[in-house]
Amino acid sequence: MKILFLFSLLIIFLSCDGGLTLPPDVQPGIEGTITLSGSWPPEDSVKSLWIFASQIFPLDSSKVVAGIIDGRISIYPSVTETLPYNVSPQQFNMPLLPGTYFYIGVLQRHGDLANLDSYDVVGVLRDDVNPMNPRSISVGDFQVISGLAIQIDFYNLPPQPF
Amino acid sequence: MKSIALIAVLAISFALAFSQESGTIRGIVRDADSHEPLESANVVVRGTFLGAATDRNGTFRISGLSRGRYTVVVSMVGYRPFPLEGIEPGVSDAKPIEVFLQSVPIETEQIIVTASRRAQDAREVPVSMAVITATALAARNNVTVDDALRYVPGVNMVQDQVNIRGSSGYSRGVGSRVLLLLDGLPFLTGDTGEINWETLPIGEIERIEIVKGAGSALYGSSALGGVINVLTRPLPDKPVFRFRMFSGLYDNPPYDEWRWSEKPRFNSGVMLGYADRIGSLQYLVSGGRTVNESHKANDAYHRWTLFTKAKYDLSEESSLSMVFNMLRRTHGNFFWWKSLREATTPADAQRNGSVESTRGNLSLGFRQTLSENLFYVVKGMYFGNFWKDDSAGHVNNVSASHVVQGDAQVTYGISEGNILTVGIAGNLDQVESNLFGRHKGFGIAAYLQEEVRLTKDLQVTAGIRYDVQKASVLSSKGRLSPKLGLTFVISDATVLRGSLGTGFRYPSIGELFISTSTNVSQLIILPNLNLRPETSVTAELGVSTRVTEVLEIDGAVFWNEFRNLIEPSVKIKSIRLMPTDTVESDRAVVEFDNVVKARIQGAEIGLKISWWKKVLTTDFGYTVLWPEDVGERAVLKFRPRHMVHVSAAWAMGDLRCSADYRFISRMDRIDDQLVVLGPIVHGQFRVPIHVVDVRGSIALSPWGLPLQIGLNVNNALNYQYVELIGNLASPRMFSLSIEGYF
Repeated sequence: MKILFLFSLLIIFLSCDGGLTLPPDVQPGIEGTITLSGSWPPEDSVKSLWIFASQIFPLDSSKVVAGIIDGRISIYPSVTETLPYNVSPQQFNMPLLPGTYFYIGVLQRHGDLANLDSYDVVGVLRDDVNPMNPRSISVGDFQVISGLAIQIDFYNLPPQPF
Repeated sequence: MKSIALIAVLAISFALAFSQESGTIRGIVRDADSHEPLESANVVVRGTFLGAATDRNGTFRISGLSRGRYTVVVSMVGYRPFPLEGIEPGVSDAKPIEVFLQSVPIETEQIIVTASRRAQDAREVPVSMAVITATALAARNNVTVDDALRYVPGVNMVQDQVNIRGSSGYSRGVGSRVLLLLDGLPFLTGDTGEINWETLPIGEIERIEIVKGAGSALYGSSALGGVINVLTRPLPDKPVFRFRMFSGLYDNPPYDEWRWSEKPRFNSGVMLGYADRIGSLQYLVSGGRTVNESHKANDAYHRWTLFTKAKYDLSEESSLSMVFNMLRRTHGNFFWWKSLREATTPADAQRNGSVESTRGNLSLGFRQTLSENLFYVVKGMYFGNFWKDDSAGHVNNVSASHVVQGDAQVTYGISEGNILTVGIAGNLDQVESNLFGRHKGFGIAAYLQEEVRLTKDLQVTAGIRYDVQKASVLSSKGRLSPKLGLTFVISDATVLRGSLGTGFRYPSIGELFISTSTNVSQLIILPNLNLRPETSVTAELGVSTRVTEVLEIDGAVFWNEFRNLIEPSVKIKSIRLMPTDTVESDRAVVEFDNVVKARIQGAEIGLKISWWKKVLTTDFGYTVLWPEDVGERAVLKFRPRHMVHVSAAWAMGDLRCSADYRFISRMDRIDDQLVVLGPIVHGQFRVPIHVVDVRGSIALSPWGLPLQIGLNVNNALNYQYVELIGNLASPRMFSLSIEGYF
């Protein structure tokens, strides 16, 4: 009898936590500023300019497509859109799925979409302590990480992933 | 094939030669305490296939027995089986025997028909099984069969896809990995190979048997993870008018942001049925109407159902049966929420969509008992499915599928404890759809099973089936499915069981030939004509023991190996999107592919306890799973690791109260692509499932009214959860039901 009573109490206790709750009205992601060093290249060489955030690092060409498909690599604003040309500094607000992103930067496409040689990383979010390394950012549920600064330089590229 | 036919012919000839003289056993079965007649008790003549169920007056009649002395076993759920030895059949007007059954504290199902395609003692079944009775369906006010399956230990639902011990996961509405049978014949749609639960006549179900392991050795394709057999009610001998009405009210959601309607939302229905007998013809006609306004926007459905069943006794040994069953339904298209903040509102693209469907089946059956040791059954079914989806007045997709199937089975008792079952089965499919194209398919199969009692306590079952299936222009594929099982009676109270089974599933026409950009997800889906069948091997060792008169324990350990599981995978491909396109462009496309190699190991324990002389009975079931994606060395998607099911029922005279609790642990892994590509905003949010249902019912028979009134509170603690990502499950619901028969 005691077992039954205790078991009933346990069930009620477990079920009373209510389950899913209403989340805060916040889209998780990152926000900050992109600043240009040097000058803009000819406009026809900037077919797309995207911010990327990758949960995969180091990155190589074999991981890019799979990473984009399964959501571990995000692109902003989208595959069919681009950041504005010739605007510096420019603010960004990039929604992301919660997770840890080890490699965040700006990508320039200057050729065909399907050709990996058409891409250059032109800026990276750098680690404060060791600027040679990218800085990792953890985005929690309904958390926006602000104040990120990415410097881009089309003529002095950082180390390329592939 | 020739040898099977030869065995069948020899068996029939043999039986005919020895079936000239026949006698009858008649009787009445009563409760030992109240002396009231018992309806639906099973009466079996041991060592033969002859038997009967008692009618409303508790009487039974078994004909076709040759001279001799027999042991007649009378059994019923909730009563101790009673063997009557030395019974001699007499002429038809011989004096009836009278049997008094003593009730037992623990109710256990005693006769099972699915495991061996014949009625057999549940203690002889070598695999784990569960049974849902008509009483349980009515008490829980289940509106569809999938509602009822949620209460079965080891079973969980991912929205409308059933998982037996984690077998299925979620395959996005195509290709069930559990085989559904209606009265023993496969009941999967012809286009997507899926289960449509609403087509099943919930009000006319006698019981549902669930086999928790691969069953392709007897039933063929789709029985990878288990078999669910829905058995419709036997027809009564006397006129019966039945009705059932219910109305339920959804409680308000806990947050104003989830309250999308100012009006209260109801789920109501009515079912009427009439059965009678005219000479040798028994028939039943029933119809129903259900309107579920739903707790989510654009998720309401309206449903009409019609069910007829007839049986004509050609002689005492042979009968013809017919079932016609039909559903018409309109249902809103709520695929996933807009976001967790608007969890009861569909994503914008689904806001005005709906699906109209008409589904139905016509089944015919013939059964002849050639002698007390030999019978055969021939069954056929047409199952048609027609649907179209509509988005704001524009029809996007249409599909019509037709399945015709047949099965002929001979069961022969070669000697005491040695039973041979042989049969052939076939199917013809046709699909016409803008999604899947226009295709035909067919399949043919032969199966054989032998049950041999090696010693008084040890029984071995061995079976094999060969299937050949051809879909459209693709080459035919063959598949051999063996099985082996044993039961060992350690003592009167304890039975050990073990089984090794195989399963497979041919890809559905939908998976092979789908080619579209769907209106809802905007994904491009490409056909894949190279898909191979999924396969499985399952092994199980179990023990069932009655520790005391008030405590029964059943335990099992199991191991399932799956190969070539078909999953949709997303790729980037260069394609021409429209036939008029002159150049290819890179697109994210979906293709079904044989990608997953999986292993699910686990254990299950069940306890039945009776308290205070059966005033309170409790059932407890716990299943633990280790579901592993062997290829990715990760947890399988959409599989929980822990499941707990607890039920308690209290009975005091005509008043009954009961409660159920189920716990499904949070799924470790889901399909991230659904979140990323869907896109299902906040699709990653899911919690463990804790659901408590409580109910009470009272029979008004003491006041001279053949009515029962029930009050249910489902999800009594108003727990908010999802079974499928992006789909908020039903909140608390209060419902009242009235059921009666005259």
